[in-house]
Amino acid sequence: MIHLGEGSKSTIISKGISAGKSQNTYRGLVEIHRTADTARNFTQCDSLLVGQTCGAHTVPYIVSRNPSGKIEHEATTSRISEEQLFYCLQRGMSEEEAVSLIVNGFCKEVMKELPMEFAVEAQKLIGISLEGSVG
Amino acid sequence: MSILEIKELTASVDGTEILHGINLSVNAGEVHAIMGPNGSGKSTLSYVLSGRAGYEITGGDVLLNGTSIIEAEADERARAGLFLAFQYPVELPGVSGMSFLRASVNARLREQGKEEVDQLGFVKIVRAEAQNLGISDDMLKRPVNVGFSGGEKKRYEILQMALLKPVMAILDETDSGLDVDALKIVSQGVNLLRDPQRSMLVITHYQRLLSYIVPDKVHILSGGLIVKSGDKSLALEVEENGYAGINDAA
Amino acid sequence: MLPELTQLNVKNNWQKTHLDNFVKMGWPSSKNEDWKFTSLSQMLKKPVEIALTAQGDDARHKMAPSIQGACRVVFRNGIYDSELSGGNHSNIVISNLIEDDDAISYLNEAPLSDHPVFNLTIAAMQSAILIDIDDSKTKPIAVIDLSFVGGLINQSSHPLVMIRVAKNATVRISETHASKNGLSAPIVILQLDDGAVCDHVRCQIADLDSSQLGLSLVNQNTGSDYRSFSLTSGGDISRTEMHLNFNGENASCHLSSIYLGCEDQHMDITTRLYHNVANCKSEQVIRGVLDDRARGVFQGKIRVAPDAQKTDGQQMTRALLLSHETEADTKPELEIFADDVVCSHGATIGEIDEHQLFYLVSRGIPIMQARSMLIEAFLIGTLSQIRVPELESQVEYYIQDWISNSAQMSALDH
Repeated sequence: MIHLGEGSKSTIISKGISAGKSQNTYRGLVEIHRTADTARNFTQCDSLLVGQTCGAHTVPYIVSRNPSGKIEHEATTSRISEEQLFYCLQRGMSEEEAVSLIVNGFCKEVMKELPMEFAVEAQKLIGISLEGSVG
Repeated sequence: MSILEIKELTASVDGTEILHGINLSVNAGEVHAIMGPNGSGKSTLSYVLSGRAGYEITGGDVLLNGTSIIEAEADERARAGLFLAFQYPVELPGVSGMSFLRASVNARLREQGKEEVDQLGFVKIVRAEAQNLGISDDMLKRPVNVGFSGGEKKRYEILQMALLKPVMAILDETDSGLDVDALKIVSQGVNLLRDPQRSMLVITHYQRLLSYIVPDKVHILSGGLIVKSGDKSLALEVEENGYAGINDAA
Repeated sequence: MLPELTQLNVKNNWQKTHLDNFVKMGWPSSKNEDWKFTSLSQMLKKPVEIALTAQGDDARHKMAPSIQGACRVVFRNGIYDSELSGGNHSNIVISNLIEDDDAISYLNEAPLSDHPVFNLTIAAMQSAILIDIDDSKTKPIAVIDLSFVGGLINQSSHPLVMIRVAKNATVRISETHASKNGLSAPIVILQLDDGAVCDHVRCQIADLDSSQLGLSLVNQNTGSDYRSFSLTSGGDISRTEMHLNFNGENASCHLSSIYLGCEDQHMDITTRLYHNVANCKSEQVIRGVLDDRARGVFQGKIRVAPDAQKTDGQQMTRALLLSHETEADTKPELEIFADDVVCSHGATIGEIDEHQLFYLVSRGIPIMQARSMLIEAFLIGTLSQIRVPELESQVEYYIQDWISNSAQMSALDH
């Protein structure tokens, strides 16, 4: 995200999900140039780890050359806890259903920005990708 | 006809035996209370019955409607009609309340060979039940348990119970952390769900809840064993003499 | 090749290996990911020879005030100065590192064979000091006053210090880098054994005409606790690099860092935290203030190994830009291979809030004073982490001095 213009604003929300033996990396550049007076950026990178053999990595590059520009960056890592999984199982959901529900909850912020058709497809795709990833 | 039958049940957690041989039979329509001091194995019992990972059954059997469930997974037991109202319900960030409730209800309906709920109709059903428990529309829109107070979480558990219509409901210390007003609302909700075809195990530390949800039988659990059983007056006896008094007599 | 190495007489074979490594790899360019934001090209233009004697200007005026009862270890031009050093303490033993096999094994086995400062300083070091801190239930707590002073034009210093803190021992370390001229590339290694506790305050207040490439290595065993505060305000180009390894469970560290850049300074704070085992907790708080044409870089990597469950790793970095010609570069990195962990980082870059400034001015406070108050407020959270009480007022003085200079320069501009 390269800010050249005065007053430019950007928001980056990244949700990375790793399962199985996968490695997921967010690599992002946010740059505010001297000409970008009062530019604003907010970046949130969240990683969700499903299982114990995967990895999640965040490599942000944040460059600011204008004091009136404001950059904020946050990153968190979480997993699907055994308690959350059991709560859903006890309500009759299968493990796949439970993981799908929780993962979709994790991605909610991004999903709600998508047009409906894409969101539905994306949800299905997440379900297929995570098949067999738990246990 | 017994809905729940527990025979000589022994169970361990992390290799340590916590339940040393529980025997219990709950008939259709009955409400049994399980009382006991801290560390007696009350929560262990609820987790063992509901099939939580890490809780190992080392002996005995548990029958739901005449069928053994000890080999069944947690979700299989739930779909067969077993419900656990958690003492500390966990948060599910980003998971909308409606999606969660709908997914649970549909899982149960599919098991019973029935049709899944229609989305709009479901909202109406949920709202109706929610009203009984003083749960606002706003709360229904929030992600599951996120930012809920203790009382709100307990009411939300009972809402789920009302929607899932279990045959056997285990209420794990539903009264913990509740003030008198919240206790009344929750108890009212539970009492509305009493049914000749439904049984309940109410696990509690204090007698107070049992004044509102009056049990048919009371069992005292201590050191992983049921040391005494009786009718509702046993709860008052505990109130008077404490658990130590019961132990001495047992 | 900087420095001039043809005259270097390397005494031991194991040192020769490091020299060969350095010569083979040379200084990194900005194509090297670890040095992406810090170019050494200006530094490499000046000719430099390795300093061989502890002589030169009297460096006493630049040393931190002595702490009562401290054991003083002074390096001048990178060479141990026995005249300026001194002080006794029953728990502290000082010896020559070259005579300790364990220390040498560590240097040869450490996974830093491609690090330029690590290789060069081990090859070029004229003094290598080993300090052993023993456990003692008697008061007072062992205090070490480590000073790096001196510095001659076109000369480089390569001091190496290893401090080994025994099981359950406690030590306070004051470390001051106040040299001038040339290049200073010190290595300070801290080994904390089971249950050891170390409070460390490091101040790099070198002259603006020197280059400072410092490397700190901290290795923590089971149940140890490391609390560090670092202030960087000197050097034309300076890199304060720290690698911290959790090698035993239930260890914890808290690292606070302030960097203050002005004129044309380039300051680089680089940290690598390795959670190699489970149940360890790390917390990092970094605050930077940049004025004039200064450039500040923060690179903070946290790596969590696959079995390092229940890791708690937190990092927060904030930079304040005071002029239109500064630049702040931040790269907070997470490499996570375990799932049951709590790891998060945050970074912000911005300027003094004009609403806050106006609030103070509207109460009658002159604008320059208001500005200074807000810069101090920005830094105050990290100052409270100074755990060597004797140094608190000294550090506060350095910071207030920097802020008032910055205010004066700013006033001249207006």
